[in-house]
Amino acid sequence: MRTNWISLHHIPEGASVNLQKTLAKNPRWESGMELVQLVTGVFLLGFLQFHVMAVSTIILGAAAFNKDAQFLDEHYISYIGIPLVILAIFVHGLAAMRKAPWKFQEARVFLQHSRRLGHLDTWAWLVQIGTGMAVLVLGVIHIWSALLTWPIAAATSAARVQGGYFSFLLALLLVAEIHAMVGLYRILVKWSAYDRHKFVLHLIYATLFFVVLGLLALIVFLFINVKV
Amino acid sequence: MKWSDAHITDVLVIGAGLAGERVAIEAAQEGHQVTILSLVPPRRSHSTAAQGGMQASLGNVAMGYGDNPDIHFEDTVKGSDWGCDQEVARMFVELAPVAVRQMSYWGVPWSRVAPGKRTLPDGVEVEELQEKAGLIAQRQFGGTAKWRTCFAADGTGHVLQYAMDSVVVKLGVAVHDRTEAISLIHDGERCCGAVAVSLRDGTLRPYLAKATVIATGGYGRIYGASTNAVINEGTGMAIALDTGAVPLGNMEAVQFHPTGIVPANILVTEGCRGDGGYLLDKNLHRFMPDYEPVKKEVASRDVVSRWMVHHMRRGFGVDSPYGPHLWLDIRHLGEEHICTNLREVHTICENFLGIDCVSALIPVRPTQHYSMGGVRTNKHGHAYHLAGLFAAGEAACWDLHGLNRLGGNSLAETIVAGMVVGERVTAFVREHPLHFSFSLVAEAVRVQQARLDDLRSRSRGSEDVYQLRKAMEETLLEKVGIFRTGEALGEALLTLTELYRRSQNLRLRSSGLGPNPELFAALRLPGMLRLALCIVHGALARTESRGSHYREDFPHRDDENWLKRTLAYWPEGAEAPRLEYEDVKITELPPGDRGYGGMPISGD
Amino acid sequence: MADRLLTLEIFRYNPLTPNIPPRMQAYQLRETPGMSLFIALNQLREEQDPSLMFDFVCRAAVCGSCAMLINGRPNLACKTLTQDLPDKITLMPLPVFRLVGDLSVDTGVWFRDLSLRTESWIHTDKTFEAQGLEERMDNPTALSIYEAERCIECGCCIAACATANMRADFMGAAFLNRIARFLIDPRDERPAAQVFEVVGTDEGVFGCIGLMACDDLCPMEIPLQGQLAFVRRKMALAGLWGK
Ligand SMILES: Cc1cc2nc3c(=O)[nH]c(=O)nc-3n(C[C@H](O)[C@H](O)[C@H](O)COP(=O)(O)OP(=O)(O)OC[C@H]3O[C@@H](n4cnc5c(N)ncnc54)[C@H](O)[C@@H]3O)c2cc1C
Ligand code: HEM
Ligand code: HEM
Ligand code: SF4
Ligand code: F3S
Ligand code: FES
Repeated sequence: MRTNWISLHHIPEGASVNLQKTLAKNPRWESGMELVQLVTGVFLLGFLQFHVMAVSTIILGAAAFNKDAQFLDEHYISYIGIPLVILAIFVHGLAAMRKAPWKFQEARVFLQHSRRLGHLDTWAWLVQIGTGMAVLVLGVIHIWSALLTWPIAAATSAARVQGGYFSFLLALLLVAEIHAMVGLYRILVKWSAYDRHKFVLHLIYATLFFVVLGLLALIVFLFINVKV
Repeated sequence: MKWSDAHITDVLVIGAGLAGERVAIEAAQEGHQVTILSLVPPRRSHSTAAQGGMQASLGNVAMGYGDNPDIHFEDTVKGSDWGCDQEVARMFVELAPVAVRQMSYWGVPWSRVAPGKRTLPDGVEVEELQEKAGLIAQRQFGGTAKWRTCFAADGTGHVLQYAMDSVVVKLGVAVHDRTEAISLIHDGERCCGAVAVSLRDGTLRPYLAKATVIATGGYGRIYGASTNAVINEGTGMAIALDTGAVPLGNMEAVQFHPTGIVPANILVTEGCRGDGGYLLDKNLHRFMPDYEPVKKEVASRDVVSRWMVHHMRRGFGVDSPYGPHLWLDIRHLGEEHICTNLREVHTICENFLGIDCVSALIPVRPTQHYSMGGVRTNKHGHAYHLAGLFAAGEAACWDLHGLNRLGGNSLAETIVAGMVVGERVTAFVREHPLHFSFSLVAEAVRVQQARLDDLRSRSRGSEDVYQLRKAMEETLLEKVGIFRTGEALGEALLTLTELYRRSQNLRLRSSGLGPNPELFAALRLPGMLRLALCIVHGALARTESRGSHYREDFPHRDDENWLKRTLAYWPEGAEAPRLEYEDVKITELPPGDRGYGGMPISGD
Repeated sequence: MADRLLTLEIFRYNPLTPNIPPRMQAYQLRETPGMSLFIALNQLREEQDPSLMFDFVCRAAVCGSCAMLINGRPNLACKTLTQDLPDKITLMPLPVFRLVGDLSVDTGVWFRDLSLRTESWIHTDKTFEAQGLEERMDNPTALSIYEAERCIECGCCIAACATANMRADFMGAAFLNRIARFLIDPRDERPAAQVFEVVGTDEGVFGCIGLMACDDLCPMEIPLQGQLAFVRRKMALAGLWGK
């Protein structure tokens, strides 16, 4: 039993009390979930941008790409990092999706409300949920396919991209970047007093940068000729 | 009626503005059960609209050093044109500092003294002392010898009301909002509560209490064009008058402010003129120098208001769908000055006129602002002739303001009166058991229910409530305004009496079921007309000029005959009030020269 | 501009006649210069439909009574000028709050309820000394309390918030802002841990998902983003370190 029995005296006079809510209520968990969402979100954000940059070394050539992959492999970073990322995705997904409008009626309220209000930030949350789900599906497929041809090498990747994965990866790139950058925007908005009308521009530039970088990498993969 | 609907409490407070809530707190703190009725949630009461500030002689700022209750007293009495009760004024000035400090203890974020030198707009240099750092800051207001007005940025009334209401919530005082008291329950000697109508569903309910307090604010809306909120319809005063036992005091004392914007009637500050703004007529002619060669636009409020009305009457007003008005011109003050020193005016013009006053003229005209008159009480707030009935705040006339109120004294009055009257109410409740006769209550409810049923059945006459109301507003505005003459008042009297007669024959256009606004308007109108008639009769009888009451045909103050307070009673079934008079109590300061205003009368 | 013929589509429902279902009713009105929705609605009531329910009190944008959905967005009707609106105007009551009838909603009870839940008053063990001086405070602190205290409880931020629309028990920006006011007030002696029990929850600050409609649509332009972030940081710390 948690120690919150003590907190019963914080229930203001006249407020309604009922057993199940009083026992189940635990603000420490509720604030904890928010922090888990924040930490995993930031971690994944860091991973994604690092990952896109790492993959983009293909632009410099297959050798550079392979060297990178090898470096991570040799220093066991892959072996710690990959499980960690997979874990983070699931934990983050669970934490972040806890507020989604799961009930049919909630979803209707949300949609009607958003349509009436015509307010960009409100729509952005829907984008966040949508892209989050997409990332989950596409990400799992992607990780699975990448691990199938372990170890990571320019040749296997190029083969995959040329074998029809191009558009799949492009879609993943787009939804992941949008999700991550909207996520970063939301973190700043929720935790800081910075003028969001100002920093939003910087975020858009950063997103464009990563998308273009990733796109270039994919194009290189598509046309590069590496022997297996 | 169902007896299970009856609500029984120790203290019934009608009105949840600053005055009402302060009374409620006093009684609740002593452990009495208190119920507050209000037309709106307490935090929407009109007290929140006051921006200027609240007077108390703290002497915290450089321009206020040396201030004390004696000086405040003198300012108040002069402001009232010697019409106020000096015992009340004395008590008030002594308690005002306590009130301000207690509000601070309850959470009001008063603006504070920041030590250091600074230069005032007129070039004078002052130094705020280190020893006063962090104490409550004060600003200048009209008609005061010292800077004495405590303020919280630009929203004093708002923060006062919110802090006050937070204490009401804390003490668990029951507030029944959207509930309107429509008659008092009494037997001619003792008041034991009120009949109220729910504005949520149009049902009636008796509220029974050991003590009943009227704190319903002003009646500005009977003038239509008023700086007051639309709920300030004087219903609290009207139900007191309806008892036949309780008189209203000095109803002819009505304060006007020169610059309400047209059509919204929202106040723009005197600072516009103080800083050098002009008043222009329809030919864009600056007319004030013609009337007041020396003071021009910055003569006292009532003087300027009088000339403005005079000028419009001569046909120089600008015509608009909302009636004639004049222009306030501040364009020449420059964008920088307007957007810094007069920022609020800029926002109001933007919001309510859709104009940028940096480049456009502001349509203004004198606008009803405050009611000095109200339910006549003794210096403890106990109403005349009806035990168990009290009144406080703008609805009361205990009588701090005489014929003219000083700016900033009203907020202070609401809270001080709340303290003083609250204490009396507490004592009364302690000594008097709940006492009412069942048949009295049932009869009171039956009478009101009959009024409602009658209106709802739509079997009555042919009169439309909104039309009559408009006619009343226009009559008061045109004939019982700033300028008064025996002739115009006589005409107004005829018109209003006729309107009052016609108001007995209202017929609803809608069904009147549920929370029906037309029904509620119809319930209020006869009472509003009775107030209007009290004002007119009082003004007609007072053949002198004092404070805000200005008679063109009697332009001088007449201390010999009129050092008196008007008491208006409304005998049952009558069509006019019965006027009585009582002497004004002079204890310290004998009548003399006010020391400001070129004409016999000046505002605050 | 002026002299347009305006069409006002107004939500009509009287809970006391539940057999007549909620509907939109159209009215036509000739526009006059400087006309606000306060003037327009009163004109409608006086000349066309005396049963029309709506709330105004100060009609000067300081009391918070008249918030409604104007073409879908919450705002104060009294300060909305028709000249800033298209020919066709739809008016609906604020969502979330209980409907009294037509455009009128019960914000008062909602706000009082939350005042109780969050104990929105100064908590102190000191007693008031009638004869003493006031407790000192520096002016910047007073001003920052005032900044939060400017809220007029109009309910626009609640109506604009999708979370509040979906979840009835969410406190909403107005109350999180009020909490901020007490957290910075040195006179309030409540420890953050005590506030945390009520505010560090999914009904409180962690229910807010940062939609910022509150910040964008607050008619008083209270900097809600910063106020909410402040409370969020305080509550997160209180949750972590228990202080
Ligand atoms: C625009 C403006 C600016 C002002 N600025 C200042 C200033 O700077 N300084 C200053 O000192 N004064 C100022 N005043 C005057 C001052 O604000 C008021 O006189 C004062 O606030 C009145 O307070 P009150 O408590 O008596 O009444 P209100 O605050 O008006 O409260 C009346 C209450 O009674 C309720 N009520 C009314 N009738 C009924 C009924 N029949 N049944 C149930 N409830 C009812 C209402 O719902 C409301 O809650 C200003 C006034 C205006 C109009
Ligand atoms: C590489 C993958 C991912 C990255 C970089 C990422 C990043 C982020 C970031 C930075 C946030 C903001 C966190 C916050 O507001 O505290 C966020 C929020 C969110 N994420 Fe992710 N995320 C990823 C994967 C996912 C997945 C797989 C899902 C869904 C299953 C998901 C669903 C969400 C949702 C719904 C939110 C919004 C939560 C809210 O604002 O309440 N995310 N994400
Ligand atoms: C953790 C395990 C992961 C591994 C081992 C991995 C491996 C790889 C590899 C090898 C490539 C090169 C292309 C290919 O071979 O298909 C790639 C590309 C890509 N990955 Fe991953 N990935 C992982 C996780 C993720 C996650 C979680 C995301 C996003 C949410 C992601 C997004 C992408 C994208 C967008 C590309 C294309 C990059 C570009 O366009 O430059 N990956 N990944
Ligand atoms: S925070 Fe703003 S929008 Fe919300 S209730 Fe207060 S004033 Fe209205
Ligand atoms: S709109 Fe709602 S979700 Fe938060 S940021 Fe404002 S309260
Ligand atoms: S009526 Fe007061 S805010 Fe609109």
